[in-house]
Amino acid sequence: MGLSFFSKNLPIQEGQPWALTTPADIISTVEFNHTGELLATGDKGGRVVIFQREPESKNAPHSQGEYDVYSTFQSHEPEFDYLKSLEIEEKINKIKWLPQQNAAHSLLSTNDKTIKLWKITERDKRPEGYNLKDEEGKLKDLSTVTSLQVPVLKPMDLMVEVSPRRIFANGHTYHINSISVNSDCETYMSADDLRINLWHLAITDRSFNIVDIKPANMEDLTEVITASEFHPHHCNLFVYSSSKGSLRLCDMRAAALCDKHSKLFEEPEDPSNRSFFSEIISSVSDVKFSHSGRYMLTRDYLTVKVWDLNMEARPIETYQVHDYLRSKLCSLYENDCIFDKFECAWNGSDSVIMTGAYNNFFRMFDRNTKRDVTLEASRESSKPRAVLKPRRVCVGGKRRRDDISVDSLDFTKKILHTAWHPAENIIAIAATNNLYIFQDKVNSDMH
Amino acid sequence: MPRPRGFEQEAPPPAREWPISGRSARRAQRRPFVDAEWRSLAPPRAVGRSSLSGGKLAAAAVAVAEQRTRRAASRVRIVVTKAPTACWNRGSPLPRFSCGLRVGRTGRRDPDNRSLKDTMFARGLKRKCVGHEEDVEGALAGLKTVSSYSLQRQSLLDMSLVKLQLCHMLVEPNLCRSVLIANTVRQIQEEMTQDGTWRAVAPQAAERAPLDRLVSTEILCRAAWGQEGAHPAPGLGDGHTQGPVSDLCPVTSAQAPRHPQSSAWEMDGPRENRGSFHKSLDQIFETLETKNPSCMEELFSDVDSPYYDLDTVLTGMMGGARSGPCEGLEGLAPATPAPSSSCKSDLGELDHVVEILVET
Repeated sequence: MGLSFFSKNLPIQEGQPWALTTPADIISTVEFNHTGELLATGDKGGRVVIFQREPESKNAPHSQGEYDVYSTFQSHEPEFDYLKSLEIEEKINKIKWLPQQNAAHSLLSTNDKTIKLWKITERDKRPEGYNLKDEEGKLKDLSTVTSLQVPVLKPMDLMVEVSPRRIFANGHTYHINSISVNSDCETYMSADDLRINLWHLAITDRSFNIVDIKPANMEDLTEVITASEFHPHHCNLFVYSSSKGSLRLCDMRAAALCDKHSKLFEEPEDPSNRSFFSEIISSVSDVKFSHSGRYMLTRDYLTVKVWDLNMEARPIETYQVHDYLRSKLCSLYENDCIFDKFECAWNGSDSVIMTGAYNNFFRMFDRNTKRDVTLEASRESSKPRAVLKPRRVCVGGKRRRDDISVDSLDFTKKILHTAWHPAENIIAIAATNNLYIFQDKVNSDMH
Repeated sequence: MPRPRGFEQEAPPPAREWPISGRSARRAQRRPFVDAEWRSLAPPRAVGRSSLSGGKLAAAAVAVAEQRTRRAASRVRIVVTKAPTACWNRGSPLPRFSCGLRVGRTGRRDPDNRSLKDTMFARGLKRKCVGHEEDVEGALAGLKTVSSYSLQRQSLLDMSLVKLQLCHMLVEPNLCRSVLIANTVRQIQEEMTQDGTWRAVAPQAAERAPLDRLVSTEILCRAAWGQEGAHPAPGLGDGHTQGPVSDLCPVTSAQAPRHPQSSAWEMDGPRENRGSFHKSLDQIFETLETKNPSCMEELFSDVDSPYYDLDTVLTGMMGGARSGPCEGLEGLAPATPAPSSSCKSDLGELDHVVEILVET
């Protein structure tokens, strides 16, 4: 594949052994910003941790910048819905960065019900030499002031301030599963299980409903929305995926309510593989547009598929992530693992796609060479600068020395959230409560 | 080969040992369903002397599973090539997960060729009484495979219904998961209708084309059926309908499940609607029960106990009045005297079984 990943630094958030993992530390989303300089992670406890890439040092020009903690803040608090007597989890479901328009950075973070816009600013200078106040801020005795001075900005330790600028609440009855910022940088959409709303970034008390698949009779409900995203270039196009494995591309110019899709992407079911679990494993857990805007990447339980926007009949590429689980679907249904929602990611040049699996494995598929690799995100393999060794799961038949058998897989260690740097070969992998950052040692630039 | 007659008239199995009683459901809720540490139960007693339960089937099943995997992989447009050879040093042994039942660290090591059927059925298997098995031994081998398919399908249905029940916790249930489970239940019900396990024929059903068969993946791996030419279980693999089964029309079951799955989904409705979910599923069974009481017994015997018991738990939790399901259950009483009595008594026995189920 030409990529050899190594760990840039030790796991940033040291976690406890799996049996003692604090649920609040489980990372629930990972997202690079548009330049890749910042990496935001959200966890189950409602906190957001932002990492910043250190600028490359002049002393060691070959060592790329490492990611260090930049800021930590509590984004969402647990709430209680008094009307329904139900708790609202503070878990951060998604974080999306806004394109940077000034010195400050902005991001949207959402839990099940509320979206918040956070502004992150730096302060590294402060004025000194006030006339009316002394250094500690106390008012000076005016009689002691004999001359006027102009306050001067003096450098200080870097302080990162985060403040909530907008709170978009009460827009959703069901659980928000995805948010996506429009390419017009003014609007964004939020999708829950049955509806998609369009918001303006500056207006918090109003949102427009653009998709509503709630049936008149809730007994008829058979399909829910699982993910949605705006097109990266066309501000009028967006796609949403359903639990039945279909994708709908909608054009907001066609109607105010986009219930009628412009394009429906659906692959006909393979009759020989049919089972009681066919529908469950066909449910799309994540959809991502390519950077070029021509393709879409979808993840269902066992495969990742690449779709061409111009062809609705079937995906142009299908990659098996862990087909050895196909015979274990009943067990996975029993322990609920079949409902795990894995995410997927493109690299910057849209030539490689990545997704997570079980046992802390994650998979990468090179679309050009058709080669794939399985890597593991674990403590042993992530000593700094250690090159990741490819792993293999054996499914019976001949077994090599280092293979792992399907029965040995740990289904509690799942990599649901992954992110790829927009320009370089740097990836962020969230494994339960640990964050791993890997970089391609050899080819740091995209090719 | 047509399905042997007399299959539908099998005496219903005795009171089963699997269901989750109220007390045990409460215990289950202390530890979330997903995080429970599963250990496999002892493998089920051999079903008669048929070769189906032997190691031969196990090996054959695994071989066919691999074959199907390979064939499926070759159909993929992009062939996945081998990863480069790696030297991987085995670190600490990873916790094992074996088919069906184990998550987390355990000391036992399963042989790789352990029968899928064994591990699959170790939990939730409805055990027929010994005398009944001896009778069946005389029948064709195919009969047992059919009944094991029905057993598995039944256990899947039970599991799904329990999942739907247990998901009403303090936090709002995951709607996507609930919808998917409900769709699975619906599929099973539709297939059972076609099989005649769930007989309910309505006049308008004749116009509808038979639905495609949905077969559990594990059943696809039963080499014995195809190889021995034994009678094919309904809808094995190739989607053909066979024998008397094809005469059955799918029915109102497609419509019936819908109306009842009422306000399980209704988040913004009044809270007591959530309770009516239990009642509603009972209503399905009620309407279908009147058509063929003897078949319904088999179905209800699995279902009504959990409803009643879980319901008392949930009533306590949610603080909502929920008398519906009990009435529904009593409505079933005439056809199923045994289950209704068992659901009100002898929780101790059920608890014991569930204790094995949940806490081991």
